[in-house]
Amino acid sequence: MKRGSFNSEHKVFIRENWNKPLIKFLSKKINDRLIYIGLPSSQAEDLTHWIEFIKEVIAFQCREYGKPSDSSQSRAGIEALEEFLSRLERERKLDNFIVYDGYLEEVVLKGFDNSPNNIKFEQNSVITLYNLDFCNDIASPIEYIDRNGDKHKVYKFDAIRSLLRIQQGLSHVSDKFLFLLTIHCSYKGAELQDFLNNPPDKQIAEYLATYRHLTGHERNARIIRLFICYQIARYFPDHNFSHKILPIIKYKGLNGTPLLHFVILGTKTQPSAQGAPVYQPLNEVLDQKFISIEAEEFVNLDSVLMEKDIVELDPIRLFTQSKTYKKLWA
Amino acid sequence: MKLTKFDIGAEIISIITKGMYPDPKDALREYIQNGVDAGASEMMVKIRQQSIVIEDNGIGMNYEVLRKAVRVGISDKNPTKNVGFMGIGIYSSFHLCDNLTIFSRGSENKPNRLQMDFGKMKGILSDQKTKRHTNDISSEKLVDLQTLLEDCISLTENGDLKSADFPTKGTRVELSGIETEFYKALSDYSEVATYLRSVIPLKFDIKNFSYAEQIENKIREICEEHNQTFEVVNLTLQINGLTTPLYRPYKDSDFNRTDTPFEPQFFKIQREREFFGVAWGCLNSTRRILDNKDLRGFILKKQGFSIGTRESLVKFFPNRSTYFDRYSGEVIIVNTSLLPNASRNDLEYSPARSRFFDALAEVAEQFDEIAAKFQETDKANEQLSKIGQELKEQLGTYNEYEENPEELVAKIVSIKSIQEKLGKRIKNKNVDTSVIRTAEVLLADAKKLEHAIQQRIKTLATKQKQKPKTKSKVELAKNLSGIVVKGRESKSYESLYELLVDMDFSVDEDLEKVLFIIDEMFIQRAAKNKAEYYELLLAIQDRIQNE
Repeated sequence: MKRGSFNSEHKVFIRENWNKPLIKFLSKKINDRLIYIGLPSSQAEDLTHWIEFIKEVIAFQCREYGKPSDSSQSRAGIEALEEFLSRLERERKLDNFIVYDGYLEEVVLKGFDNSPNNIKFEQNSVITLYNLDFCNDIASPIEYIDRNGDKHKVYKFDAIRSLLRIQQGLSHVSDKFLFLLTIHCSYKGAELQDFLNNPPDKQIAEYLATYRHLTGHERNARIIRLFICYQIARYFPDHNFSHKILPIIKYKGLNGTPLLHFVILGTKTQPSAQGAPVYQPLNEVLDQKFISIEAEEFVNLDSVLMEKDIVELDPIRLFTQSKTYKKLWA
Repeated sequence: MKLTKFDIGAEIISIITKGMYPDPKDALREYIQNGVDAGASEMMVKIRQQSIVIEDNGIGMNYEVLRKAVRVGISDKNPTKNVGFMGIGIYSSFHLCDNLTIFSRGSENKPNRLQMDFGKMKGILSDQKTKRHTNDISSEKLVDLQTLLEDCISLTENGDLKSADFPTKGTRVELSGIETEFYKALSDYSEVATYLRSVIPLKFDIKNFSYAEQIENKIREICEEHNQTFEVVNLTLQINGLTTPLYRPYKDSDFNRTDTPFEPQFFKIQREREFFGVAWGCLNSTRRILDNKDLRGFILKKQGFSIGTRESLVKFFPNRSTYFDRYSGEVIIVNTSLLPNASRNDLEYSPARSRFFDALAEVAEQFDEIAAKFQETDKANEQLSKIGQELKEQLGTYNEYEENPEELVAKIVSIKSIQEKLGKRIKNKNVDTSVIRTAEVLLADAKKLEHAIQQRIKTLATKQKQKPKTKSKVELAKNLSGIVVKGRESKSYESLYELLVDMDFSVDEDLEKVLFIIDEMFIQRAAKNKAEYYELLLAIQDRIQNE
């Protein structure tokens, strides 16, 4: 592992063996290289692995990972990332890129970044690869001051909604995209607390009740999975995107930190009063076993809990056998 | 006298570049123009917070060309063909950034890299300046230009770079370490785009300007006829997250019509056999100046560079701004003996310049004539539309059974007035032929109507003479008073004879008898009752009137 890298062995394995085949599959399907938005880190390891399938990068780089943004922090990481991407561009491996100074959620929601010039956040291209990493343990919401000096609170998941809203409004270039989301198992954002205190419906309440007797990461992982899947199932159709959530990967980050990796395949659909068609009931993914990694292989994770549904371990087969694929992609 | 390298101080580079490139956007222009001179068809300018990149797909530079590029005030470029020929443009970003790096792949197909450490140069000069202020340095110890450049410029030797480092043909200029103040001046998209539109030979906007392709093709065609080239380049401008292709500024929406402006007019600018270029212009589609003041009139252009302002060409137009401001167009110079002056607000003085402006004045006159003709035509169309309406009204109100001669005479007076207006319109030839044709058609219609009325008057006069004396005095009074009895009288005639007399037929005593026989034998027998008899007589009256 490189010095200063944020990558655990598992993360590298997922990047290469789970995400890369999906990225290649999507690139082939839309017959174009992808437009990436995400937090690649100053070393941009994920981009390096996927570069042959990526043509454009919209990157967010905070100054000190894990800490709230502060103008006194060094911009070295941002400059290093920009230099790295510039090299890729010169080598014709990338067509274009932009680096924003700050966390994705703060830049997207406040509309400008933390650089001395406060670069305006603009998205004019349909994103085909989202790679959102919410695995730092900054408590959500983040606070920021806008151009008028007013204080605002920014929730991580509002940024997802905002990105989808922008994507919805853009002209039709590709109607298919890949949405990767990594999140800490011990995520304790205010929006999650609200979800736990006020379960939005009976099904959610029942799942939460089932998790009540669990403890530690076994419990947290399932709560986070329930929360994220519920949000995806709301946000996507609300913006006329149909979604297919692949089984969730539970893996070890640096220092054994438990992380969850979500992969969602999105499809833009025609606007209708009913919203986008959904071919995956929420319980499908909630009743699946977690996938994990053992001895450089994906495995169905045995657990003390009740998930009985053993899942296929090939991401492409998982998707191409789904109803969503057959209805919208085949 | 023999001079040495110590006679040219390093400060000169700062002085020259500050004077020649006062606007940070000037550096963009210089590097883009190099791409144009290198025959690039595609160019990209990317302005990011850390760096500025200008890329082109031109012929690129090999090691030797890059080596020569660092020379100050010496250029291999032909001033008659290239805009950048002064041999200083490469230093145009001296005050803008700390590092200039140029990657280029030329004829040998090997990548080369030239690096200029402007930050270090500026540091040396600044340090020197401080020492001079405090008299801590003598003039003999000041750094000379050659030493400064040698210390701060590096060029990769052939083979130092791998092919993959810069894999495609063309040039990539990277500026990094941008001064914050300069970055601010370069981060306003609209400002930078407006500036580049005025200095780069951009393509016309096919999407928003209906005549884009036509104009581009026509100019190229005319230039080729005279063995000259008309170059345009595809330029994309990206400032942070906003990326759009840049085009010449002309759009249909700038002309006052919702669909398209008028077809462009083209004129060659030449004196006898000497060809200078092409002027094109689109006239506003109403008799008004263009709303967008930035596009009013013509702009002089050489290889994309605007020379002077649009206003500076007004003086060549005979009617000054009257028609000038209703046009939007360009005067494109391709003649190699015409060069812009250093400040690019005029052409360099030369005999060719005088001949060019004479030729331009002739072309300007033609543009004015077209506008004047349009003005007259448009006015004429408006007038004809009104006259047509008047004529229609006369036709619509004319009753071919009109009994009142005075009414008919009044109508003739009105129609004569219409004919007079049309006659004048037809005599004025400074309008489009379609106007004259329309006027002629209207005049013919007016004459036809007049003829019909004249006929009616004659008929009335004849009838007046032939009318039987039996006609009541009341009827006669009615006719003379000119009271028009509108609509059909639902009169009940007591006999066929009475009906015919009422219709002004002259009936003598013999005929009267015959009529009574016909009445009795046919009409009265055909009717079942008195009411039906009246109806039959009215039907006969209708039939006679319609025959």
